[in-house]
Amino acid sequence: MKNSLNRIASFAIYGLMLTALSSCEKHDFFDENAITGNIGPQAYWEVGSSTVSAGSNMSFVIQYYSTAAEIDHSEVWYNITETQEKSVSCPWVTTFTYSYNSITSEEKRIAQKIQEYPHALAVWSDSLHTYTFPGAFPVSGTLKPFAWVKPVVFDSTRMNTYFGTGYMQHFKDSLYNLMKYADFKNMLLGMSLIDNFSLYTDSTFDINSNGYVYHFPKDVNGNTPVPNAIYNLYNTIAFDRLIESPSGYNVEFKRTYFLEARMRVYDTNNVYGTTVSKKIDIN
Amino acid sequence: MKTKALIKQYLLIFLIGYIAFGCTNNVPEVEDLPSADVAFTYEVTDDTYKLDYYVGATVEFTSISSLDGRCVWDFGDGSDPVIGEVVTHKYTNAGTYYVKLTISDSKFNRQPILVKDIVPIMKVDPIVGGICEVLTTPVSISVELPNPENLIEEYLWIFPQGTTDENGNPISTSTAQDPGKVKFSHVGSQAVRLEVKLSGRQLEEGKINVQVAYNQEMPTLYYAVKGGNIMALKLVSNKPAGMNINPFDMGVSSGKHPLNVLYNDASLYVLDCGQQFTYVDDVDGVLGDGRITVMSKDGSKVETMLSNSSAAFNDPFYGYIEGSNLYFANRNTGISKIGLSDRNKVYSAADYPWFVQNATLGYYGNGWSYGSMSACFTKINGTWFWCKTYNGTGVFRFTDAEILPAAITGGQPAPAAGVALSGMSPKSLVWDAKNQVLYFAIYDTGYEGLYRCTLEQFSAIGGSRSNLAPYKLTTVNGKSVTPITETGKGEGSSGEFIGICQLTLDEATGCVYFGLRSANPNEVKSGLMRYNPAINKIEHVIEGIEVYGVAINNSKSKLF
Repeated sequence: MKNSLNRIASFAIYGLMLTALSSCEKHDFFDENAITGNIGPQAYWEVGSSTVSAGSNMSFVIQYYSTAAEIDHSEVWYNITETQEKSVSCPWVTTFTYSYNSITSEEKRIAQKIQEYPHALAVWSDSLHTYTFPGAFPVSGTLKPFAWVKPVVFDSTRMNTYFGTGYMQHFKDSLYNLMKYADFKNMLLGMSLIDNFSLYTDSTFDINSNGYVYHFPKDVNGNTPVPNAIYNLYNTIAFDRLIESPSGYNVEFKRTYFLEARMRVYDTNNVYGTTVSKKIDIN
Repeated sequence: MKTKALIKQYLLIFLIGYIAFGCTNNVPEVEDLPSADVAFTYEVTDDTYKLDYYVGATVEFTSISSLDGRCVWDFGDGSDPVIGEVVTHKYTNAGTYYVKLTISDSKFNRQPILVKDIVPIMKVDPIVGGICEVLTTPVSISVELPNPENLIEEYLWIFPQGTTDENGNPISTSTAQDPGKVKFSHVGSQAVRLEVKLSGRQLEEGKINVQVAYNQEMPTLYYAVKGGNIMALKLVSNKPAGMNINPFDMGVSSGKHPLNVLYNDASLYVLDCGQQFTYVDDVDGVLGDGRITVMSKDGSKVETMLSNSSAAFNDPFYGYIEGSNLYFANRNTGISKIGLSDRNKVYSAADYPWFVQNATLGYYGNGWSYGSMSACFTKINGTWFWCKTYNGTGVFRFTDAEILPAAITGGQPAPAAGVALSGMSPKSLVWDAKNQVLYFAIYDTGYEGLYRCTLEQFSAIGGSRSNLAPYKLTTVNGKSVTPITETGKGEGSSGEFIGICQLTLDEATGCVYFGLRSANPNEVKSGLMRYNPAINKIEHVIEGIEVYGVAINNSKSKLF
């Protein structure tokens, strides 16, 4: 009985040892929890500025080294993102500020190789303990910012192009829904579309302000709806007159681009390491 | 009894029907999503204009997918799909297209491509002497027009008013491809435009700014335009008749809210407090988007000095340069400092500890309280002057030695210099050391405006607004400058209106410049303003623009 127990205990110990040893071979914490790749070159860079003129070159200085293989070459890659800013406002309203503003950014070109730089042993720096060289990469002249700001001549074709078809009517309808007596009065008198606004004016004494509050005439329910004549008059106003001010039309459309650049440094095994990304505004 | 049973039956039927039809709408819509296994690149394969993606360029698309199978390309322009791992395509119209690659009729990916119309690329040719001087320096502008199909080219150059040919003859337009050398009669950015037609088709207009220098050395004012660029203006006092001194567009964006700009040693430091500068419930402390950028004086180089992506209130709002440090105030806690030569730094409380904070001055619980709102600050004769506009308002003065080593909650004596303009809302101030006068702007209702007085007079004003009257500055029409403080009309809210963000001094003339967002445009229009001590009046420099921070390079130059 005792022998049998000893045998069982021995088998158990051998089994445990075998399991433990074989487990060590199978279980690699990093391999099981991460996708591991080849070691690529280490790279760091600084660009000359955070803005660049379209059609010119952006300067940079790169530092790189590799502990795994010889360096082969480096490349600059960048994508292009477009930002559009739009703004329209109506200066005629007095009881509120009516303006439409939007800023949108969207990637327009995916990251792609822009320029390649050969590697040379001669660019080794003893003081930095890295390879280093200054360089430059080009930016297309087609990426200049574009702006249509407070034009002195209104162009409905441009308006439709930049803001979309139907925007002008939408703006006009939305504005109408928010306008009050004082806004209509200011607008219609200001545009010389009406001579005598008192025809559409009634007043109520307000105890709190100890004065008269002016409004459109009341209907049978005590409401003060916009009179039909005023509604019809408003409908005759062209969109451009709604946004007209002494210094031009209150509309802005701006289109700008920025790029996000990285350098890739390749070794002779075609493995590459990247630098940090640099966001550069194009002007 | 029968009625009750019937009601129960109807209710049951209604419930079953409701559930059955209600469930129908809850079936989720299954959408096809792009696959990470499908990827592609593209590039222009033509020898020239590879970067430009012009209409008509040959674009090569290459699948770099990890998935094997038949590659089908949809170029997004309505053309027929094409099959192959590497394919080419030409777009016939400018625009943004979304190219879709589908592999084995199952997984796909979609990427944008921006195709540009041909535009004339204009350049100012190298100028003898380096700068184009008004009236005297002839410059030539060259144009590069990509025209791979050799289409008929038509040119129309449009020159700004005052342009002459090399012999001094006025020129407003030219239809030549090379209009020859021209000279300009006005200072500032002179916009030359070029309209081009290719076989009758109008291209997008080309434009270039020629930076035209003054013919004498003068200081330069820089100002940040709302929603626009940093601008520069030569401060010319006696310009020749017929010559306009226009601003220079530096081609560098002002940012979102550049409340302060500071000039030092050939660089302009732009403190942009980001999109959100008023109160926001930033519970996670991640809404910061402010930054300090450094622009070289000619705008050719822009670097990021410090960026903030922590709490919105930690964005850089106001600043002051002393020695080798830039001191910057956050919204309502304190002032930190950064070395002038630092670049690409990221703000953190650990890396940029408080130089001074509300709670390390004896004013805490003794004049101001938690979250006292910051505004402009400066240092005069060794004493800091820190404007506060909420939760304890006025100009709080202190010396370096009076900054306490640890935060307090009260019970300490106030610094000796004390509070000036106590209870008022001073937004900005500038010290004229040469004339020993202090300029300050406040926006207290009924007392809004720009003031000038000596330091003794400043201290004597105390907390009584009626004492301000002798020092108020006005326009030639006797009007004061009134920044907007009406919510919804300008920007900001109680305690943080920004109608006059900053004052700056022209040391040579004693003029004080500032941007005004006017509350009373019928009396005084918004714009770039100055107080001119020679006539003792406030006057417009440029009407109708909205300006945030202002700064002057007092070193004289013809250009920058």
